[in-house]
Amino acid sequence: MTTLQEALQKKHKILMLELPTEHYFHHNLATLRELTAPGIFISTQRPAANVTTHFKKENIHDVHIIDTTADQEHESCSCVTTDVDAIVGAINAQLNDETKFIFIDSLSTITLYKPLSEILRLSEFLITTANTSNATVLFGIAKDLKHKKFIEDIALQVDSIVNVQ
Amino acid sequence: MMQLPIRENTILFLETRPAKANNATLEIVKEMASHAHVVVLSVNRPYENLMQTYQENGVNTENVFVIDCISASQGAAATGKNVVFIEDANELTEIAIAIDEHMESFVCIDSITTMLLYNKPDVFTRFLHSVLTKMRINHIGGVFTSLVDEGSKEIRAEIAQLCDEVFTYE
Repeated sequence: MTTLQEALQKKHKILMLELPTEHYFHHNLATLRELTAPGIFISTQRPAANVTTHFKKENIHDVHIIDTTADQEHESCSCVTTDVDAIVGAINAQLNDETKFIFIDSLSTITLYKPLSEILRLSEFLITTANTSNATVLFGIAKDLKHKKFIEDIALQVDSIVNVQ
Repeated sequence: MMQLPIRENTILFLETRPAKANNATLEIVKEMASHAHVVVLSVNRPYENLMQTYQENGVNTENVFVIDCISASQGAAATGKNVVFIEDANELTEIAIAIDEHMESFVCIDSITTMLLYNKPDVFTRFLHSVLTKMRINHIGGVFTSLVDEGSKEIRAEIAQLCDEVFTYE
């Protein structure tokens, strides 16, 4: 098991982050602080307004938020549904040569709304994007859910599994 | 008495043992209602019993609104100025509307464990995520109580990761 910095130094492009279930979002923020902007944060858990407030508090800048939770326009944010094509469209609209990372906060929360086949389709798209762009892709997952079959399937395709403490 | 980490704009996942559950909820509601309005979603106790307990323990009931999910199904829906009665704890749309209409500062869901007796875990978690999102948009704080249960670790993880803090009441 590697740390985030070790994985980034090895120039690994596809990372799975196992985050403590307690204070999960706090650990998302701590991870974002370690990444080099600009980047894209896909928020499946919290509305962009709330995420933005935390970004400001934590001095996290140049991160575009793709919000799948609420249809409420906000600065540096695209609001989309949990439909995978809508998320892919929003990513493609923001992605350019400068984009350093794409971070999805939680792979499991989106399964509340979409079948596993759709989650796997999204992960396939993100893995392909990591391999064909300058961006590193990070999949967030709660440690207590890492044994789920679909998580294990995705874990087989990543370059590193990062244990966030 | 324990120091509970109740703050505005913060959503707390509070775990407790069965023997401590009533005390935990009482302390939470007392603390919240002492300075702000609180909506209590009650699936464990009927409104009348709840209000009596609150009054006996010095809770400022003027600041409490109860969404009672058990009295009506038992044919015991009384009347009251600070209450709405829901026919069944699996009527999540009705519950969501009631929360939406009455939330002002805090929401207390008592309890996740009991709600899961009436609802499928994935459906209930989706409902909870929707309530949480509305709470965050409207800057509402809250507490979701749950019994410590090693048997439902997955559901716990799904819900706990959506909250700001996890706290064990002992």
